[in-house]
Amino acid sequence: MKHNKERYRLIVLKVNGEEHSVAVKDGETLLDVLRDKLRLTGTKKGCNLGVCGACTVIIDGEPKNSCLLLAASCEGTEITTIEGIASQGELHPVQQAFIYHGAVQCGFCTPGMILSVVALIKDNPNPTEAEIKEALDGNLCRCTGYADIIEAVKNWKKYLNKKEPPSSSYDLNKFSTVGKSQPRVDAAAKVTGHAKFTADYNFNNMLYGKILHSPISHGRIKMIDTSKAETLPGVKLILTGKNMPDITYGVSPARYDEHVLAKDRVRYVGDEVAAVIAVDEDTAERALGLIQVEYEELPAVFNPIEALKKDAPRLHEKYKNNINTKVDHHFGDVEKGFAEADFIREEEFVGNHVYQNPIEPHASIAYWENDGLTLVLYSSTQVPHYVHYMVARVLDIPLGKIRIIRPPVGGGFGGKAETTPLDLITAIASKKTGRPVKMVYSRKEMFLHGRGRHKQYMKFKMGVKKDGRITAFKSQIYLDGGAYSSFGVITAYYAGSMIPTLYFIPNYLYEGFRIMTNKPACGAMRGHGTPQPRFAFESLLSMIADDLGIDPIEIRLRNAMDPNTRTCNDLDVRSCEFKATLDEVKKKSRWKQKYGKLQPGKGIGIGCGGFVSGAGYAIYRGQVQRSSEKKRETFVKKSEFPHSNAIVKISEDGTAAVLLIQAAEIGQGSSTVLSQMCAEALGISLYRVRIRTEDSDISPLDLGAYSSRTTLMGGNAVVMASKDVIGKLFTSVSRVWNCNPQDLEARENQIFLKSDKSKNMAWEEAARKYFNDQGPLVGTGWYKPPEGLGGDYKGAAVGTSPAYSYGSSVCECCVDLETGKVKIKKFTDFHDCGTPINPQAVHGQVKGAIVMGAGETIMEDVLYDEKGNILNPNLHDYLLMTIKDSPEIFSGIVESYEPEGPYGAKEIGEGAILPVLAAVAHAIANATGVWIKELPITPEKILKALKKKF
Amino acid sequence: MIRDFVYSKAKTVKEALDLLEEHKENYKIICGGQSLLILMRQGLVAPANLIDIKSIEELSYINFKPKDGLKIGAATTHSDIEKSSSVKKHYPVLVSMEKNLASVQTRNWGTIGGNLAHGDPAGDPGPVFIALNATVKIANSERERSIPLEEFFIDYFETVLEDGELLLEVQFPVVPPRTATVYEKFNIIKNDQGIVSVAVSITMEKKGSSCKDARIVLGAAASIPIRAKKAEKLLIGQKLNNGLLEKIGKRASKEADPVADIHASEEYRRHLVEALTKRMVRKAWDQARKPAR
Repeated sequence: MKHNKERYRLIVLKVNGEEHSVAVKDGETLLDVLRDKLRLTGTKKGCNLGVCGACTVIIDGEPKNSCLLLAASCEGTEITTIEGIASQGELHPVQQAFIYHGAVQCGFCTPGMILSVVALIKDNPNPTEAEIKEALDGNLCRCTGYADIIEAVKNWKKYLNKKEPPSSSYDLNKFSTVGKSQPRVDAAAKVTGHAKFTADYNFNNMLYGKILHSPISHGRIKMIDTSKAETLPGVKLILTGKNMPDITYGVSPARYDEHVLAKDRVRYVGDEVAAVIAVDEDTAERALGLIQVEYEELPAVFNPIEALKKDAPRLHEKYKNNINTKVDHHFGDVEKGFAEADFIREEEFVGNHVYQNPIEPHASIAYWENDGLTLVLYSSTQVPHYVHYMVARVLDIPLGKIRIIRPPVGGGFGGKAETTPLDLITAIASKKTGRPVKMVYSRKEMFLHGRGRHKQYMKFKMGVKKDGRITAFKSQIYLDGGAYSSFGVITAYYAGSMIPTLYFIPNYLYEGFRIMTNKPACGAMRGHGTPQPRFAFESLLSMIADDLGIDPIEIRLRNAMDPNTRTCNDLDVRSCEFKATLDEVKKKSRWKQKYGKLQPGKGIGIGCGGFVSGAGYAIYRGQVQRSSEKKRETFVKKSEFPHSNAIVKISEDGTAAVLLIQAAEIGQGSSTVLSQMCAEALGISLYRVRIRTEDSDISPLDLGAYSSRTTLMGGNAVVMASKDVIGKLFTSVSRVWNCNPQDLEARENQIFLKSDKSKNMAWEEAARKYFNDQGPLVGTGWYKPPEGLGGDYKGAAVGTSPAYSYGSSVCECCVDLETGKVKIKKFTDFHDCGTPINPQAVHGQVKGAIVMGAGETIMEDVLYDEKGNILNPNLHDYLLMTIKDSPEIFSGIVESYEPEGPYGAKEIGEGAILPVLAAVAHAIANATGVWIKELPITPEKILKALKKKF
Repeated sequence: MIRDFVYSKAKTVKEALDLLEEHKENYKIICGGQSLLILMRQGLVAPANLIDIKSIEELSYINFKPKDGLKIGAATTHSDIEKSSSVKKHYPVLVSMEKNLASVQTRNWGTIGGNLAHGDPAGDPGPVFIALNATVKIANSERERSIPLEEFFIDYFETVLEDGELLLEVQFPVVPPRTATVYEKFNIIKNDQGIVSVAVSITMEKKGSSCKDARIVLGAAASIPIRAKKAEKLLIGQKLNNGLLEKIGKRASKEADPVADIHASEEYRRHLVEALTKRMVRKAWDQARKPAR
């Protein structure tokens, strides 16, 4: 391909009132020109196919998708991007409304969303809810569940002349900052487009990489010829398995089974075969087409049950019969339990293969610092530390020579919980080229990289007494794992271990098999391994309730877990207000007046669930070191190192507390709740706290955003570090006042004598004095999960946690009995998350989980053809709920206090999705009279079942 | 990655036709491109030349005359149609159809001509326009021709447009008195394309007792939007009753020629054709019977 000048034309674009002359290629979209040439990176690239709306800009007064506009066609128009919305440093009222109504989470969809709203209110300043939904139905959000966005738009006018936000109504009184719905600390950056996500970064002299993926589902690589591609002008480096380290990587140390680029074998359509590094993405992509690869095709298998057969194609030598993980758990005696039962029911359920689909695609940028020895890696990841660890392993350099930077992450949901080929290829390629290298996945590549929810085939059997009390439960689960281990070992254990946390199950047997198939690897998605078994268990329990004529909520109350209990699989439950959540949803949803009393086509259903507040053990065992140096470590029932660590550093003048912790903010709001806890423990206002989480050189280790661990574990570390500061400060003040440090209290930016509040000093003055006398005022803190968590059986570590959350959800829906179409109307949810540090953030997680979970139940599924190609690797064909499809949601919090959590807090992020699937399934069954046991519950399945019945 | 092409922007119809002439078969016309650019990005379409007709002002208009009916220029955006007061007054079904066509962003840039020329059997305008008995005006550098929209589509993403031809205008005849036209699509998420869609237009006899004329058009139920003519015949000259409605639904379902894809099986699509046809016939019937305002 010639690089001649004719490929470019000079155009003038008027953006935010300023004229820019730019040379563009005819095929360049407005989105790419705005981002890459004008560096207006507030406009985001989410799907690049006109569906997600993250690239929305206003052109001549109307919102449009800049990814589907040729830049050349925009000459002569007036373009407004998010950067043009605030004026003279003053936020637009809509931006303020988004901040204060909790309409921002990850912030990736926010700029596009705000532009759509700004365009709406220009013509229609008082839009109705229907009009708001109409205007925003082209802007997808995966975090918020849309409800708070609608609220923000309804209330935007309140911010017209307001400098100060309306005060929060929620107050736990005991605390100054904790327990209050404070706006997110990162919201202002996100509503203005200033927040820079990984792909928004650009470095001088930067190169771009693209991956060549296997077009076949199983085969040996016979030959790779890169010679043609190498001659393409602009190509700087081509990598294949041959010139990559011969080191495997993955998640679980016992099963590192992935190579950065295939050595000699590909195992699914999408497996990484080669990578091209070039001057721009376009050139890299062209070069991919010039690489010739010869494969010897091998037979492939796509169904886990087929894969178990004796003569099935084998994916990995080390996994006999394609069994990657086998779990065999038996607690109590199920045979005895079934013998004691008055009623037994057995059912089979099948889950679906759901993909997380965060709106932000994965991205990585790597370069080596001037010494040539220190790697700097920007990554869109939930788990910067594990990326750190795995890059150290594959490159075989010490962790100390790697600096991981995790910019704001545009949603993860588990899909960004492991090291990606992008992380490793950019790191290696930047070393080889001596230049920064950037790589970003397309939406299709995200699907190919996979790590979505395992599709589970579940055979469940439950025995109960006449009064509904469970005597025995037996489950057999086959998990479709895909081609590599990923998180799958842990997934297979989680599929069993979480079941007994909700109900007393005296006798419990779980057999789990994770099977390899020639498809993208499945991993950890929100609720990790648990949502499908929970859906099946809850469905079976509701079926049995109907069989026995017991109210479905009543049967749950009769079996519900109590606080301070050890479950049958040796998990220690401390706080537990599960029963309260059931009572509350029953009342609030007016369950009694509705269940069994609705007209055909209308239904109401219940589902329950809960989750860990942080995994009890780190994914790799033992201490922090390069994993290539590690010996196989035997499991000991304690943490070698703290899972969360924090440093609080007070500025010299005492007016700011800088909180350093590597906790990964991925939209869930961790930076805000950690800052709130820091402010509370220090006795200062939230605005005085600045949190720095992004840079591993600056912030100490935190294991990241997985297993819903950050509030509890990160929070404990932050509180400890803050108390360390306060201890030092009080000692210093007590010397001046000649009293005991214990006599002092810090609150509302004052330090005073507990016995005499008139004896006080400004907080910053005390801190300044400390600095003058003793140098920097710094506190450190850390958190290790309690020792001895879990039982003594194989796999007992999975499911252990310092605390467990509980929740109940009631779903109301309408089903069109002629077509099978489901409309989810309303959700009523109550959760026990311990003390809500930030109620608005808690409700935000719940609402987001409900919309995600409801979509997962009725419409989401990754589909394959007979050759292992994904049929819907885009947001046109893989359906995500829009604002118009989302239900009305009531989210409530029950009173609870977790002794192991900071200020009594525990998790909400993942537990919130667990009740949702079964609640929807039950509501549909209630509306139609037929149970659909295979997800997703599509109209077609409902109709088939109805036809069969009548 | 969008493959390289040369972009030309035409300012007048004449300029556009000259460009088409110049590039022979080696071009694609873009008029909004909300579908075309998706195909180009996926590598399914890779023209050497892209001729943009969206900014041709003489192709962007909505004209209604009580005697002639409605004329919409090919480069008129979906939003313009959605917001047009004369369309709302005289062809309300077009407004409701447009409101549920993709997203606001798409409607703001996508055009009616672009949509029709794309030839997607799941497109919304096709069935509704055919139900309204629309005609399209087509031109090349030498001549103009008009054909019923019903004859415009040939196959999946294929229309009668020949090399050198440009779609200029859609024309809708005056709606006869005592006529109602309705449209519904079935989908999982709102504003997605229809898994199946049905448009029905019914004109009543003067007395309002029986059906004078009926058009039943099925979308996404074959390779092109099709009329269920046998089902229409069952209705014409008749009074609607439940038994007849059942028959009409079943007949339309037989006339459909759907294929299975990831969204629905063939069988389910046929079922949806039946269910939606029944609903739409009932709805159109009830509306057409109402005395004129």
